[in-house]
Amino acid sequence: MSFIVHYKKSTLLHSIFLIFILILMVLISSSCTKQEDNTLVIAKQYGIAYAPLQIMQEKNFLDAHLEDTVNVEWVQLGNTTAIREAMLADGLDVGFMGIPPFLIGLDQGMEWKMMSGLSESPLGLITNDPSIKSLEDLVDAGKIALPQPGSIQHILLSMEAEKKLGQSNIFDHQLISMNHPDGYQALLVDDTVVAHYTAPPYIFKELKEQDAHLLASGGEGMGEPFTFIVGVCRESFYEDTKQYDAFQRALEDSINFLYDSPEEALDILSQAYEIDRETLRSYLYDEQMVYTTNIKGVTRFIEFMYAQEYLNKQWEAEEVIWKEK
Amino acid sequence: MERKIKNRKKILWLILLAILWEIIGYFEWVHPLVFPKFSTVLIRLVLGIKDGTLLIQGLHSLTIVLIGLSIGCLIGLLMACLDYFSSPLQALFELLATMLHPLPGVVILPIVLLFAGVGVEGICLVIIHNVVWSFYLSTKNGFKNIPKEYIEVASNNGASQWQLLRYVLLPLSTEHIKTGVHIGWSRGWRGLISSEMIFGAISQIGGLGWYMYERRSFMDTPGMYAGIIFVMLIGLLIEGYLLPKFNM
Repeated sequence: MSFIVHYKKSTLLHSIFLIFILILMVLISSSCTKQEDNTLVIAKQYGIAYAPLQIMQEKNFLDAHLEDTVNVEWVQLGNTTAIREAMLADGLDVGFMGIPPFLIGLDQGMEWKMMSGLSESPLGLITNDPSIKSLEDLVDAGKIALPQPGSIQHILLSMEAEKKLGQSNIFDHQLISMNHPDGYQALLVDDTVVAHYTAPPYIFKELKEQDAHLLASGGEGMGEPFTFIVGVCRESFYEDTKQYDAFQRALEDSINFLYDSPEEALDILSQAYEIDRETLRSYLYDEQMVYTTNIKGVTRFIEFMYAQEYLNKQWEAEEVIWKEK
Repeated sequence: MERKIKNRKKILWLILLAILWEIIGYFEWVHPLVFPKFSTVLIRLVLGIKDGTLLIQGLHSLTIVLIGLSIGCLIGLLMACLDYFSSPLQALFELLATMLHPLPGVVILPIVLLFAGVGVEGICLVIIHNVVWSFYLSTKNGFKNIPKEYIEVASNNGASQWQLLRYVLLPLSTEHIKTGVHIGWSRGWRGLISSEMIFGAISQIGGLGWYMYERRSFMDTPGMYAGIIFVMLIGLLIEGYLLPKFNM
């Protein structure tokens, strides 16, 4: 009798173990599946810094340069971390993000490089508290909202803090992680959030609010012009010359279109972003808002991030940007 | 004896799983940024505990849970008592509990943020919400399960409401109250970690949820796993050691 019970018990154990192994195998194989070769997946985020991508998507510029068999798929992800993880899970070919999060990924072992710039943009730290007049007043004055630690906004804030106050991490314990729309709202209604490091269109909107003023702009801390958003891909996409070239050309087309046919571009974008035409015109063609495929400021980012130990290695320019073909 | 053998089997399994993990990590069947080696994670965990970051964050999270748990239990107890002696309030509390008890804490976080702002107060409110309804329900259940005779004896001897509560209701429902605290702890702890992670709502220190959120944004996968294991360890310590010690 006891033998039977024992026997039953161990079969149960074995079947559970088998199920466990099966689940494990499924997990492993699913994370190794390659993207089907005839789909090209591109990830962007929200904001007018991504305007050329919106144009590319709606005018089908990319499809025009690609063979008919290739399927283009656009995904909009909430933050850079999600893009990084999607690319790691093999779900993405091209992703767009700020330079610092790209560098952090590279430094941690992601095998990717920058393929192109997308936009330069005014970024800045805004407060609506009249008693905060300089960066010094902000120390321990309340919370600072920005997208996330390690984002371009965080690095620019650290640069500014090092330059003006001599300590790059002085604000780190005051940070709170919020996407731009939440940060905008928190700055207005939440008394604990006193400042917001943000990007267009929110920087333009917030500066129009009562008592809002700029405490620091991205350029000041950086000390030189820099690219806000860059396009990043892995080696497998870089080596697919046809698709890689098609994407580069489509990006140039889109940027040219933005400047050559502003009226049509405004039609498309004001609908996509739900911002009225004239306001959007002032945002898009603001003199600090530059759409270009050039990549600027990489060396300064690397130097600073290496010195502050956000990076373990001082990367060379050719290690972070794909060679032009 | 039986228990000892079972425990030994569990430990054996634990070692086996760790070895399996190490093998998968070693051969890099999965990208190391997705699934790092067990030893790497273990080293991160030990370093994190040694330099104090994990301990401070853990202590911070625990303090907040304890504050939320005590306030939640107090309110729940008060509600259960009022419920027992007043039928209009009973109807109100039952209605509220039916509506709010199934709501996960994170669901109300956006509203809490609007009222209390980001920070410890907001997270405390979420924990209180997580604790109060289940504690109220289980205490109420305890009161209900007391044999009628005890209460009748008390009132026949002229006990006041306070005396009834103090000498009959509360002592006879300790088991239910303990269960309430136990459930409250687990709901509160889960609520705290998830709200810290999702909203990055932080104070000066941050807490364990924030620690993992931050590790994730710096793409420090071993650190993230170390955070998860640390959360697991705290849970084990409290539910497997501390609570049984108080017979909960």
